[in-house]
Amino acid sequence: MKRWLVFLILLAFGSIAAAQIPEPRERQAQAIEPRLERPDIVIPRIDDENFEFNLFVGVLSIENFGSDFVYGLRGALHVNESIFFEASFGLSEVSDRSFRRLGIPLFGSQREDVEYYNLSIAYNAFPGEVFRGDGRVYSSTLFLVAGAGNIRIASEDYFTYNIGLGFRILPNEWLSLRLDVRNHIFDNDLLGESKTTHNPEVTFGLGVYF
Amino acid sequence: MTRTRIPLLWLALLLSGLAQPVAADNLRQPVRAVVGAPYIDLHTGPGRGYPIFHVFQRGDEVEIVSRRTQWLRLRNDSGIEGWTPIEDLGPLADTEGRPLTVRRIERTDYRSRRFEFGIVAGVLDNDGAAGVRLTYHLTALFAGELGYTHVPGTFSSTRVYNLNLVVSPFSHLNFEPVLTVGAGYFENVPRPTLVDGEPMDDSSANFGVGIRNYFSDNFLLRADIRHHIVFVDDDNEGFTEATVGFAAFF
Repeated sequence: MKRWLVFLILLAFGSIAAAQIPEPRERQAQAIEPRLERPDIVIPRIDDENFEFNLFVGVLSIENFGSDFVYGLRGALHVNESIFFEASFGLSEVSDRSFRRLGIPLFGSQREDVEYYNLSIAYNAFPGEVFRGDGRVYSSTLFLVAGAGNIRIASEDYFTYNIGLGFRILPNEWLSLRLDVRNHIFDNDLLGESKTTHNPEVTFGLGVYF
Repeated sequence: MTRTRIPLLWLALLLSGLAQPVAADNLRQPVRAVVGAPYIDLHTGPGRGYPIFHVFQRGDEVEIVSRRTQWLRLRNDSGIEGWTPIEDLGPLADTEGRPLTVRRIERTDYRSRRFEFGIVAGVLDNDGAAGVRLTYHLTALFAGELGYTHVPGTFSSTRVYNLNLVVSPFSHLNFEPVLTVGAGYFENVPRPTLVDGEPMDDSSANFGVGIRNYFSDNFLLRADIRHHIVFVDDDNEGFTEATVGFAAFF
């Protein structure tokens, strides 16, 4: 019985509410018909090529411990025409052979692993072109780079700054050839006393843009 | 052993993330466009200083081959190919006459950014620190941030992992101040040459303030000061971290 009552009341309110809804706008007479043509705007899907992936080989010199072969990889994100971020990861070795000859071995074994990573920012300071013979022109750039990271020598970590410069040639639109010169700067106490060391590295790299 | 794997893991993660869209999406249809500006200069390279070697005229039909940062590579049917900055493009239409829009990334995109990938460097107490930050903006006010910082210190090597909430109450300002609060853990391994050191692995909480500044394109600068409280057994240790860095947003 009560349910019927509620239903009736709702019905009554509903019909009052319905009566008060104004007519939809479309049905009202319009004074001026706007003649607007709205063309569809097309946002094309263009292939982005802002990432550069690069493999490198070269020579890394560790102060007091000679020079050794280094290889690794880099990934770069090109932010604009001038700036790119880069993460690098490299592997090399050190030897304490000359210290062993003197009877003072420093490491557990004569050859120990070196691995480093760094996060850097680079600035394309001098974009330009290089010419090969008469008929070939490649775009190129000389960039400055600086960053921070870590170097691990014989299982010990050292906070490392790096500064350097690089030269990049683009033989075509997706390939890059690079020559990088870096100085890895870190404090170490491998010889008993903490001191700042400069550790130059020269690498040749081959990369792709995608 | 596990420590050496971490940079590799980061790189693997980065690369796997990048490789997928290339494989799936590289077979896009070339985009064809009709030049609407009186002329478009074609440069030999995608950057300032590269000389202009050709001009496309109004009505020329060209193909948009690719984009590198804020430059487009255009090619016409005779195979002439060069680079044009997006801001010099002028009006473009597709082959059916509908307008084509190609936009630069600018400050309005900064305001509505979603993902942010940053790299930072600085100090934790007196030791040098370097790290990466991945931020996801939920709203203009709130963002979540994943952080990894490596501190190869004088006596030990510390890795800090964080999950933070970033609150930006004044996101309309040019120098946008932010508050951060979060939790994480410190992984501390003493130098092998130290005799009495033993590895520690403790949870931590942190709070701090920072500043973000839009620089250009999809690029921003960031600076942060954070205080970490590390819960070492029944004792707390405090560390102050100050970093500056930059980030790209998407």
